[in-house]
Amino acid sequence: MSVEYQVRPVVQLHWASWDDDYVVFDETSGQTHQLDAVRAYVLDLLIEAPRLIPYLAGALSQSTSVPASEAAELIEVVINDFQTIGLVEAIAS
Amino acid sequence: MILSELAVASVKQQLRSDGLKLQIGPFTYRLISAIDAITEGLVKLYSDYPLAPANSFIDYPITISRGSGLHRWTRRQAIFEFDGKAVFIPLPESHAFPLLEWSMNWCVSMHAHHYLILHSAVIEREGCAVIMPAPPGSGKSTLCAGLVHRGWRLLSDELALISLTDASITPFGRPISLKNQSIDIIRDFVPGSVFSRVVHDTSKGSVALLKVPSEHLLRIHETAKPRWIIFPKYVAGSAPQLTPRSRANSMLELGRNSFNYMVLGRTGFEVLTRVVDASECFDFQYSQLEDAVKVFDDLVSQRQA
Amino acid sequence: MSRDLLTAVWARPDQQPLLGSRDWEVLLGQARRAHLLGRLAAQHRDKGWLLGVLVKPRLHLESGLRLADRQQHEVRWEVDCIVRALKRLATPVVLLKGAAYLMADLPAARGRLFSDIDILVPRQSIESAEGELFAAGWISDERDPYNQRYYRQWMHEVPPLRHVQRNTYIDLHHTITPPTSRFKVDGKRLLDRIVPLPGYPGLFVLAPADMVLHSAVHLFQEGEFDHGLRDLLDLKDLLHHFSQEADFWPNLLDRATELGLQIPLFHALFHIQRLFGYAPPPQWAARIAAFAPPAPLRLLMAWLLGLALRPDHPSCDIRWTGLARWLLYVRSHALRMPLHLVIPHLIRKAWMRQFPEKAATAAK
Repeated sequence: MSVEYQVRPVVQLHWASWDDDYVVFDETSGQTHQLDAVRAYVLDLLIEAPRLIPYLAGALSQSTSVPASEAAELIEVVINDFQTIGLVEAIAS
Repeated sequence: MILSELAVASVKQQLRSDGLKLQIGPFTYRLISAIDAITEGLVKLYSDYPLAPANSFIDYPITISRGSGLHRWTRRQAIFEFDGKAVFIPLPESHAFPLLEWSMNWCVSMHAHHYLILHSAVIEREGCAVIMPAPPGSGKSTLCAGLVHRGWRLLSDELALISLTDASITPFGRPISLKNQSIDIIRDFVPGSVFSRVVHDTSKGSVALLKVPSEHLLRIHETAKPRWIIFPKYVAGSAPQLTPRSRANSMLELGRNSFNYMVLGRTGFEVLTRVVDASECFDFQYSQLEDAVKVFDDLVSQRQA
Repeated sequence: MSRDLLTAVWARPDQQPLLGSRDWEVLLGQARRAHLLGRLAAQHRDKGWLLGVLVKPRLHLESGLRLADRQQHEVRWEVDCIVRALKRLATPVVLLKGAAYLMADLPAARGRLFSDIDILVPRQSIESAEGELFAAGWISDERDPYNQRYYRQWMHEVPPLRHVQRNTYIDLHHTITPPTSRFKVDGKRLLDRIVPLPGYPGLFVLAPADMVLHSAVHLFQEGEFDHGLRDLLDLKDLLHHFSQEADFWPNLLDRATELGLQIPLFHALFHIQRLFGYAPPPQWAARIAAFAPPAPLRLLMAWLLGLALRPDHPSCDIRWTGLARWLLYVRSHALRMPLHLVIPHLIRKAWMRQFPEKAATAAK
């Protein structure tokens, strides 16, 4: 059984961005978050559909300069942060 | 009719009965107090503000009362009451006038949710506004006080009122609150400046309020558009340094320095995004007011349309 | 002179208040003080009256609406966080009062300003619920062991729990009145009739009759009447809404008898009728009248409550109001704790008010 991650259904996101500078606002919680390019990219992928960690790591290393060897670990950190702030949850698939 | 057209005895009488009704920018206050320092401070610093016409709607009725019981006669106190309830703990009566200023800010920041309210100074020149958010001790008020006497119009020294419809800034100019050494710095920088009586031993040290130039009050209904967001920091002995700053980061910092960003939810987010969109963001380090004046002047003269 | 403009608004709910500037100033002040600005604004919005209000007071109403609307989001978020925190407990979690009205989409939630979130769990689950909440970031602010004992032993709640990041509060209960109260209710009987919330597995609200009775007994026991008028309005809204169900009134009266809550219900219905003109269906009038306590006591309570329920605002001060509130406050504590303990507790409470830091953590 593998674990997928998704943006929690109760969350309603709005974005603002300037160059590689991102801000995302969750209307439900009223929280505003500043995101770097990597976090913004990962969140965007999760908004599209629930994802597995290997998928996110692969997508990250293909479209950015992050090496494949580090991508998985970076994704885990990012997912953990998103879970802590209540934007993302794990679902068994 | 402006306050200076009333005899002092009349001002006192109104304060002790139905209240002195003042129009300050978009808000109307009803001020009630039997404390002499209030009469004195208002007469000295609010002489150019219009009195609200007889049947005006009053936004905020403020009472600065003396303590009850023994406190009426010994260790006299000043208490801010709103809707019949004390809002803060009592202060010594000598702090009554600064307390009035803080009360006026409190009323707006707690209730005026038809604006996005940022805790910052805001000044304007040639239609362009500079928003200066800053935590206490950053020198924002000193900088603001200096600049408004060198060609910049005061919109506010504490509360930037951002319109929710078009992100313009509504002036709410009131006497500028200065502390400790700033009082002397501004006395030197601005010959002829008018201050309230200095009040010592407040929680912020020594405090005095600087009168707003009357020309600024003539334009108190003229709004302005945000153009720069500048985070000032006073660093003794430093040369002036203006450093670009991330817009996203500035936006978060502005949100943290806002009284009601959280209350306004999505609207707050959208309006603040517009403000940041329209503005270049900087950190500004300085030590001399004259240096700051030059840097700010250059911003205006060298700006692209 | 006393001008209770606020109650008049709900005495004639279909009539738009047409007020001049000075009266608007007074009404807004009374509404703020009674925590009813949001509701006043929501009423104006729902009935299409906003444009008929003078421009400047209208801005105040709209501000009140923004605050209330935002709070609705925040309460939903808080409930969501609570549900996630308590997921591992295989026990029903019952929302009470404001949070229940909101999540169950009841009219009483319109324009409401919220403070704490009240939840009820089975008595045997209280400790594990506290444990799960603690793990999710809610802590007890109450350091004073005396107040801890007051809460746990005499009151019906664990001391309020505060979330360390969001600074929001939960009141955790196992029943709706303290065990020493004259009107004590066994939480189990309430749990027997809880209603699930569609879309929120594990989350429930009280049955309609129980929701009404909780509101009635809460109002007459609390002793702090800051929210008195608001609570009566909530109760009126609940009655109005649930009356649409065919058997609601006989169920309510049967349940009041079953739980021993006839007297609080009687007082509540009396004041709702007196203030807002809302009367139960006439076929139940005789049965409700039989719920009344003996005449002298009834009259005294009616008088005291009538005074205490006026807006606590300078425009409404009359000589007896402070005394009335004080008497009700003492009575309310007497209803909750044995009398010989009430006086020392009140003295201690008064003492603690001198110290703002402690007051922040003392009984709310």
